[in-house]
Amino acid sequence: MKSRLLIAFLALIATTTPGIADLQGSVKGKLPLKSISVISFGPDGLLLIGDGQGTQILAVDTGDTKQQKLDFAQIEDIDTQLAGRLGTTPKGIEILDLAVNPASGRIYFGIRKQDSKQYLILTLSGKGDIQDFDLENVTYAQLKLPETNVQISVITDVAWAGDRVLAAARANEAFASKIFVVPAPLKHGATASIYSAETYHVQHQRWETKAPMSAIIPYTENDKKYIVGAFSCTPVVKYPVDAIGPGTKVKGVSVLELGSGNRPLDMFTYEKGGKAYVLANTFRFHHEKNPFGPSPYWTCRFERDLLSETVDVNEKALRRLGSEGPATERIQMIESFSGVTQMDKIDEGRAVVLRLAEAKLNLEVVNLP
Amino acid sequence: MARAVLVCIAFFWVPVLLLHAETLQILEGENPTRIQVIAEVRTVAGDRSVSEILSQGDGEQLLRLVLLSDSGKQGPPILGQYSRDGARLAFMPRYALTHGQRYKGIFTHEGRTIEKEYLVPANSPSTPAVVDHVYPSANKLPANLLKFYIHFSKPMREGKDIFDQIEILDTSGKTVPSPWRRMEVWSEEASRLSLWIHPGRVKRGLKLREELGPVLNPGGKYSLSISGDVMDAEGQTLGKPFVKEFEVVDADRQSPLPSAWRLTSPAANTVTPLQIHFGESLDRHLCHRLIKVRGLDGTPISGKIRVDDDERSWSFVPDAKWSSPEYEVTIDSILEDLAGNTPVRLFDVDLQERQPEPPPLTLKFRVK
Repeated sequence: MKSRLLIAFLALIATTTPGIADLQGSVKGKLPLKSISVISFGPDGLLLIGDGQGTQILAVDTGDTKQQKLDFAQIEDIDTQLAGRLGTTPKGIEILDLAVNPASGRIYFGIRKQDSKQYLILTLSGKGDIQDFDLENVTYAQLKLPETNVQISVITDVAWAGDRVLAAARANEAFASKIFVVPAPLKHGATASIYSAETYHVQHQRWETKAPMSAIIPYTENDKKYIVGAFSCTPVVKYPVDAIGPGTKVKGVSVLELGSGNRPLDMFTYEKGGKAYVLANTFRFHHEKNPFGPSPYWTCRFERDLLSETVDVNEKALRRLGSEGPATERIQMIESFSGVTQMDKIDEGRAVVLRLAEAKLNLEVVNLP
Repeated sequence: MARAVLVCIAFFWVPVLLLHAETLQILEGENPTRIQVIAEVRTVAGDRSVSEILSQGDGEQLLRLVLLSDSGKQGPPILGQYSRDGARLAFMPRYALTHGQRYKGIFTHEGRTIEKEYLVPANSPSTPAVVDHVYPSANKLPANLLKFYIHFSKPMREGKDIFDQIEILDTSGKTVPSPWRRMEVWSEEASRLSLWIHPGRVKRGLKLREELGPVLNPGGKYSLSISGDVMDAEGQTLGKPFVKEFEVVDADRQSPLPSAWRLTSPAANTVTPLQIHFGESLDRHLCHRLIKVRGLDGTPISGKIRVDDDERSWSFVPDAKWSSPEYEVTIDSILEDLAGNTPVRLFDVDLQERQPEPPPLTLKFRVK
């Protein structure tokens, strides 16, 4: 028993090998993962795993930094392919999230195996080869979310913001929304700072503190850092994250409103033709009664400059996207992304998406609009 | 001459034929979902062709295990570990196989293929999971009810199907469309589901509520219907549906105020319970977690909590006798009633409006 403990201790002592500059005091060993809510990437192959049940963010050095070419445009029945590698059927797994490692172009999937409730990560190489990402012996930093009276059970999104990690979470019992921030370099054992957010909900013209964010992106404007969150029903809101202390309340600025009955799923920024855009896909849960398009999964693009709006905000943020169409040309529905259930950016020209088409779930590489 | 030729052919070809004598076995491990696939090449002149195969990639080219679909279509090679022992190449799947599924081991060597099928028997039926309890327990619920907690007797299978397997039916037995916020919130072991009615249909003034109407209307009789198709973690269904019938009363737009609660003090030097009657039903799980007993110096008093009477009452039995003359009960400001109202804020409120002064969240009591 003692020798086992010694081995475990040696495996977990802080590594001194230089790795990702933004990861400090990391340890090597079995990842203390309890669940996967979301995954995303930072620089140099830094994988961020939002683990709601573990009330933690795990920052993992994947060592996956060799760029590769994507040799495929589509993989049909990706759920069958992923499940098949695990020896089960598509119903035997849940694809919880997908993220592209910008350092390599490799695609990562957060998966739950349904019968055993095992959480794992599969990767898809540029050649279309699906492999298991080893969680037994990795270099990582564990970033704890602070204990509060609100019990966090789901991390709704996690994002790298250049000099910090941002996360949004929702609670198990109380209807509550929290923002978490961990400054870089990410130190093993660090605890995130927690903020409450006050938000103007454009749809019913009220200030609120409770509704949880569904998707987040980092945003910088005039050297100031912001977190941009998208909520159900569907305000897009900007919160300053500089110069606030832990435990304080940040007041958001609602800059857009994308129509009622939608839940944002994924969101990212990209540039095209010298202009910056935000692409967001959402699930329309009353699609049958009031559709926005052929699928309940619809996607819109808006100009990123709309996030800098200072006058037409909150009560005046009426750039609604409804069944009658957008109120401004600066917001567009993207038909080529209809049916997209999950997505991430590959580069400034392409995204990888999971698309529901005629009861099949396909993975596609799609040009950005 | 011809005889000599035959002898020569026999002399040279017998080892070659032996070299090509391959076998493939599938051995069961600790249970039928854990197996080992073993390919063996019987050689006379050594095992050079097998010994070259050490890496997993090469292993997959030679020996693989695949899932067979209902139509017999082969899936991709299953992930796992390869090991070699002399002329034996063994493969062990990394993850447990799935009950009720067919698999095929395929060994390809020097142009020849041997296949062997393996069926993982269906899970032997166990006692199906049941719905142990649905909270709120009351059968009269406010029109602005925010959530149900559904407690199952076993860990359940997580996944978005659950939102289509649980319905609210109105008085005429018609399904109320799109009632749920489709975001799964399970307890860690997945035996408790927090099921939220979409807040966009609870809060007044929202377009969603205007378009679809509220989920619950005062005066209506409804039932929460949980399909018998809901699966436990092992894939076994409930079998029988579960129904909770309830009537809907007026929306609750009052904060739960501790000052209005009725507190019954315990007797000194006993472990009789401290009891609190709320006068209304509160959130069962938040009551367990957010109401605490402390000494006047703030020291937490340990004990056992019960929430009874349709979540209208709370009681606390201390682990040790009540030994001080006075204690206090502290209430966290996020404690909710059934409509998400807390002592400090209504759920459906505009923060720009003038808010009432925060009420006291501490109740002192003297033992008798």
